[in-house]
Amino acid sequence: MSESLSDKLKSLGVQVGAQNLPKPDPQGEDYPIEQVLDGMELNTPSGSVFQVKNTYPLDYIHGDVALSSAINPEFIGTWARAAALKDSALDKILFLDTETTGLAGGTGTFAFLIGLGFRSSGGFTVCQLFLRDPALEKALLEALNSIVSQFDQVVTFNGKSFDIPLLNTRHVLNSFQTPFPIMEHIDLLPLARRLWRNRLSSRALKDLEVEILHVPRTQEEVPSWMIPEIYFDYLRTRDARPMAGVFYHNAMDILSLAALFNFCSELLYRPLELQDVPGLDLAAVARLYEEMEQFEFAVSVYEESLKKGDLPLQFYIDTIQRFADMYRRHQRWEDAVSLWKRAAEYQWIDAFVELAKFYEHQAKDYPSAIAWTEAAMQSVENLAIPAWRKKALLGDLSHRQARLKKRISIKGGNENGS
Amino acid sequence: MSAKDQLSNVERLLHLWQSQPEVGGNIAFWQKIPPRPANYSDLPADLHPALASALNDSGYRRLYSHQAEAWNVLQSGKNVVVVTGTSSGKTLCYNLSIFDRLLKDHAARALYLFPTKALTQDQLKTIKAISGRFSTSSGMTAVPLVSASIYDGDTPSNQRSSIRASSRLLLTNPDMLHMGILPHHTLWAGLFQSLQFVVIDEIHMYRGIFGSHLANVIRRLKRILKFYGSSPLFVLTSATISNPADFAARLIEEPVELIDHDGSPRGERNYLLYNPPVVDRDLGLRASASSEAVRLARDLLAYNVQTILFARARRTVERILMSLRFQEPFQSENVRGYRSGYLPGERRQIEQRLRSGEAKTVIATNALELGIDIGGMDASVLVGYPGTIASTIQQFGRAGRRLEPALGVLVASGNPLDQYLIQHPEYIFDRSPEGALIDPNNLLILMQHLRCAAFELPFYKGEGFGNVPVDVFQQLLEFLAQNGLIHASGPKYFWMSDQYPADQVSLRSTDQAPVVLLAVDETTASTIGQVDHTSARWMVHPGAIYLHEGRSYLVDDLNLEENQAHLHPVDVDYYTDPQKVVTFEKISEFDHAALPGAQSTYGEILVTTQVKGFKRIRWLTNELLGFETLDLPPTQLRTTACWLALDESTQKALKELGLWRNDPNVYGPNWNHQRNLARQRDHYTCQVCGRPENGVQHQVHHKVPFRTFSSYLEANRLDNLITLCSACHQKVEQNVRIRSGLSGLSYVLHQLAPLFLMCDYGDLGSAADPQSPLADGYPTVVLYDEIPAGIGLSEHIFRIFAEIVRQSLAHVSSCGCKDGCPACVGPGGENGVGGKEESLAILSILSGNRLQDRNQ
Repeated sequence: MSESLSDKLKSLGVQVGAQNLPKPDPQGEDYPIEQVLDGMELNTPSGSVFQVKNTYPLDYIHGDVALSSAINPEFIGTWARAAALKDSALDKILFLDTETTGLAGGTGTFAFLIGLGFRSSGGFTVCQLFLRDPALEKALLEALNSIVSQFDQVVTFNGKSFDIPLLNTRHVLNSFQTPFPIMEHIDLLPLARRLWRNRLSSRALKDLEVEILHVPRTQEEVPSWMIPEIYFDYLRTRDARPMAGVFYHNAMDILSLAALFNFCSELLYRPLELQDVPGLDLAAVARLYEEMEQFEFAVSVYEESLKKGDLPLQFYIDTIQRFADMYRRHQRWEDAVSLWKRAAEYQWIDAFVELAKFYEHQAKDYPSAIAWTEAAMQSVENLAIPAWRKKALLGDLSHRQARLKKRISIKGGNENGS
Repeated sequence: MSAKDQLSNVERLLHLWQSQPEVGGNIAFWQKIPPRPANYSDLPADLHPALASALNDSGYRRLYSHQAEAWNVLQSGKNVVVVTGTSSGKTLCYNLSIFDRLLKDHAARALYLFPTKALTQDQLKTIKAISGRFSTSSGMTAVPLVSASIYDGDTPSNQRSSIRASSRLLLTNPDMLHMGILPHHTLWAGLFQSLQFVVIDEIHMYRGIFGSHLANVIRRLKRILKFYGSSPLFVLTSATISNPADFAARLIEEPVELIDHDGSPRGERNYLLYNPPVVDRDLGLRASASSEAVRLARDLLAYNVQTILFARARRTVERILMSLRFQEPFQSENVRGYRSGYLPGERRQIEQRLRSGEAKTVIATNALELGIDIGGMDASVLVGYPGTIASTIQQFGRAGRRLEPALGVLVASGNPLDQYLIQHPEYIFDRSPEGALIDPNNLLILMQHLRCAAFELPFYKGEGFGNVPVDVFQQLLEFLAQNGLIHASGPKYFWMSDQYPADQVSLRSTDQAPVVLLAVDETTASTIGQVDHTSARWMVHPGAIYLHEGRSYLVDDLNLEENQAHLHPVDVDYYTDPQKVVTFEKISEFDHAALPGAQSTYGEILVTTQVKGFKRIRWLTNELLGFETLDLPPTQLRTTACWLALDESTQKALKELGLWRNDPNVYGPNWNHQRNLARQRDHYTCQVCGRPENGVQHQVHHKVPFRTFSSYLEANRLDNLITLCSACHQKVEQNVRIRSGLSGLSYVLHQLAPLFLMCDYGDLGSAADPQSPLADGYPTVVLYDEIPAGIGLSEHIFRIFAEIVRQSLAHVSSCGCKDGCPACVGPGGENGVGGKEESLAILSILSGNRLQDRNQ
């Protein structure tokens, strides 16, 4: 009769959480974090925080990238709408990445390890703040803020939608003012998407690390998806040894973030001076220039990307189209026409149509316009596309053809008038 | 002008109906409620001038008394629940105080919760109609705009952050609050810090599971409000229920003041209870409610009376619509349907045409019951009792524009509850006896919300959660901690999982996903419907014939993991009858009470249901074509129950009564022959006690009673016969009688109980067992919550059992049928024996009446 509440819940089918959770080993020794990793205590008014700090020397190379090299962040700043970045000292930039108890978001997810990277007098410093107990979160945030307040910009990877909102939430929950809204924020994920969408199958940091930076990780690495459980097990067992792998993972993320920032800054700042940049990357950079209204830069990088000769056909034509379109918008008709003619060699319908439009509306050269329209019709006939689509295209084209013919006849009868 | 010319169309039609016996004769009850003048109060003197002038511009120069009363209660800082009629200006009861506060305190904000998205849209219009005038009409640029926005699943994501930041009046629904707002409360810090009012509209919608969930969502909301340091006032509104103040107080777990004096004016109201004529007296069958409703609707259409017809099911809406359009082909355009499943644009168009008067008749589900603005109708026709008194009043309330006479007709169906109400109109027109029930401490529901709450803010030791007893609460936290979902550190419990718990909780059910029915033709597969997970085992087991829209489908397979059943249309002359074995096991007893001749118990039980096989039965002849066994997993329901065990004296009294009732049966021309064959087969020996015949012939018993069969040949088949000595035969017959009496009793109790509980029939389960394991083998009737862990229904039944028994007795006694019908103890109880008399005898004993010897 005296059934426990827990038995009752089980018989009602309540299933929660994990089974066979590890328990602290009563005989076993404690392995607090300070015995596992070299670190120190950072004291705050709300308690002390365990901090691991490593400085990488001035000549340290992460994969292909020198972390402390002189770079020019002007264009990356323009792209990220971080106006002050241009004039900011490189040592005012903070790299930030958090390890959290999950990806779900909301108020139930918290950061237990915050990795921070910055240029220092000795080279590049990675500083990791660890929440050894969730009850000490206030201290963690105070420690974080004492460091963050020394910087003007924060650089993250997916921080716009994840790390920074999460830290903001943690600040609200602990009744703190969050420092991030007044800082400039450069999130490299959207930039990476723009740069490598067509070339790489994944734009995750770990894949960019391999494809772009060429950095190997060691045996110490633990995959991201295991990280929340490792922390939960640590809280249950008080055995911090498996946490070492998480610190390694986080430190590597910070280094790669900084390296990627340097790499992207350079790629945006002087794409034509770098060695071995694939045509696809140049085409992507050219597009970014175009959007940043750097017309002359865009022209030269577009040209270079087409010159490279390594663009797959589809992207080659695509790039010509974009390039020509940019010329069109800038009324550089001659350049646009020559690009469209290049694309037309590949039987590209849109190029025919653009040429027909140009000759009709700009050049008022109706016979040429008709010629391009008819070339387009010819090309449509030969295309392997669904019949209905063919019909629609041909319908438009013959409409244009008819209109042009009418114009010729009017113009013919009215030759003396103009 | 003669007096007759001044009559309204409604009045003229009522005269006509009275004069026609084929209509007037079916009107079982007619209540005429005289017009009521308005009871006005002045606008409060200290009302913000911008609001006063906006109200003036919108035509509000004074208030109804209940609006003024709500103003006063809220001014005094108390929560309030307003219970007044449809279109009595309920929304101004809260909008007045809220607008005023928002105009005077520029930081103040308010949160509105509506049960449906459609209602939310409608209310936003009402709010904007007034708030839109603050800046324009007052001409005072200093007056801040009171921005109002909806935040629900349909809100585009690019608008969300600005709504979060700046909306001062936030309109949403409980689901969104639960799933999208509370788990992200830091994004709403501005709202929560400045929240001064929470409005919960139409609280009668939050009964049962939905309400139990909502009460927990409110607990979570209040926890978060406490974190941000605010404690807003709650304003609730409700349709007529018996316990609005108690119910409101249970939902928000705070004291609430009740306002239920309606100060709005009203024209004359005529309420009719219409009982379709009996077409088959023996079976107690009446003409269908929908065909009678169509007939009334045609008259209403002919008299140009704008009418809304409420049907219970979407399919009924379509059927009535078709039938009415078919019979009134020239009015097709003026007759519209309205139900969920129609596209929003279509609905808006119908609403607009109703308001403009272009549409004359609309046939709707309860989707139109809530405050969607369609203007006033002239008449409201309810096709069947909508299930609760509150809904009945709401639906009647849809008819009536200001001071015009209006008409409400309830067309009764053959269901017991409908027939009961025909006999007892006072249940509808006097104070409603229904109370809305919720059980926020249902363990399953509570656990779900504790997880959500733990995610939202860490619990600290010694904190509470609503009125959950502290020790229970502590045990639940420990349970979560043991299972690794939360981690105790220092004084707090931290959420420690990468789950987002609100995703796993649906406020509107506790059930698993329904099973989708896929009809597979030669070439195509289409979804024809769905069945809830539990019912699937007996409705769409492999081999079952499933009826849908008049077609038969054979079930090919049932996949309970994928929640799919595959069917294909067939042309067969049989139906299938699943053989369900339901067993009950007692887990614990919470309380006992004595009734005359019986004991009632409230406790916890385990209901195990297994579908072991099914019969194939020929239509028309009811001939058994075959039996097949099935191997389906059993389902278990652990829930609360209330059971009634008849004591020995009752059994004895019934056995004695049973002696008088042995109607000589005429068993057909082959009876003697079959009877002798049976005796021969059974070696002239009683098949129960083994006694051989000794000079006197043994009797031959029909295992399935004779009258169940339409053909004596079937009834007298050898496999339905068994040889018994007279003593054993008597026992067996008695057992059948008590059994059918018990079945009839459980039928009528189950049918009438929802009247007292404000729940649906399907929220309860029932069973009768002459030898119940719940009560040490005594004959027992059990009623239980069809919801894991129960939601308080059986507990309430336990408390008012005597009343339900009394009403059941009155109802069955007054039923005109011969021996049981669907409207009283059911169509021929178990095994087809009517059991009306037996049920009546049990009900009489339970009511404390002495049994009468009917031979006297």
